[in-house]
Amino acid sequence: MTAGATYVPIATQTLGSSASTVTFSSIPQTYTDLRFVCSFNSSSYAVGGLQFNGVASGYSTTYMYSGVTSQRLTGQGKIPFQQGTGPITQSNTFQLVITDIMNYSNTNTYKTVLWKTGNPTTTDYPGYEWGVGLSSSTSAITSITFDSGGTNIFQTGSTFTLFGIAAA
Amino acid sequence: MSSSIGIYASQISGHLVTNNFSSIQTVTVGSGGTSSITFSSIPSTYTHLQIRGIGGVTGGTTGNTDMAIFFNGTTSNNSSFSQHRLYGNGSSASSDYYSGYIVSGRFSFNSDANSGIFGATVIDILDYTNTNKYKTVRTLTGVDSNGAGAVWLNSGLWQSTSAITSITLDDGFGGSNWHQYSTFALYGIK
Repeated sequence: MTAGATYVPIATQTLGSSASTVTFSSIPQTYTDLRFVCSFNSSSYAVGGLQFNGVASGYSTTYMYSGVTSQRLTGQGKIPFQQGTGPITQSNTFQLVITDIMNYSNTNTYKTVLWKTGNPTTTDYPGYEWGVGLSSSTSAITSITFDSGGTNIFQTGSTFTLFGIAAA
Repeated sequence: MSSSIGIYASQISGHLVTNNFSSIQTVTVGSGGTSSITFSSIPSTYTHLQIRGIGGVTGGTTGNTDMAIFFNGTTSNNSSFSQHRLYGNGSSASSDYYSGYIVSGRFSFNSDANSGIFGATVIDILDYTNTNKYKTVRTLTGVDSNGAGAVWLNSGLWQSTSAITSITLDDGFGGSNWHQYSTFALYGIK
């Protein structure tokens, strides 16, 4: 890793039309952590979440959300966001999700994810939400899919950026 | 929709293109584990510090695997440290206060690092060289083991105006070790 290349934008996608999922594939294995930053508007209520390497099983999550409540979910086929607070369907308003995917290329450990999101509007289950997710696989993560939880939920103009963070 | 890597962001500013987020040091625990992890001789050339890492804790008893954060050679309960934290365990949420420690949260349940399950944390240490301020710390920590788990959001305080030159990540309550493959990386932010 060259000097100054610690926090690097790997790829970004901006939707020109609605989409059900967004996938980043062929992720380089040269970083320590990944940070996935999403800003999106949704057409209707759905529970979005992350899948790795095209696998739709082996995920669980524990999270907190506004109202000071906590839940655990397993068997969702992904690490779900927006279970406590809903997606933003208000026009011209975009929801921010920041996800840290730690040690994504480490083949000795399962993969742990920290994430936070919020819905600052007054509709669709507003609030703040943060949590931890587990992918019960020791495989290195080479692709990430953000599943919106429905058909063409992600709306035009939504942006998704994947960053790499490299440790010395 | 899908995309191969190669569509590079071109209008991202700040630390991304001006090299203001820099890797300082990384510690990875080897075979046999270790009781604490220390970053020492931290350069004073940054404004803030961030620690990112995964950890598994084995030994001790359930409930004793929270990580404590100490500065400048202190490695045990000291009244200059305190914190408030909000946490959820998957069924309820609560908050607590500690005096003597900055405790980020638990990294393992029932020594599950032996099964490959590691907790994760992102720690922000603000204005670490400012000798006019006490030091404030913010952490987000969590572990999920597919049946147990918890997530913590913390605000910690070190009542010292000394610049931070070393950081120790300890099990906090004794009797446990960082498991092999635990790894923590220290970054400087300008």
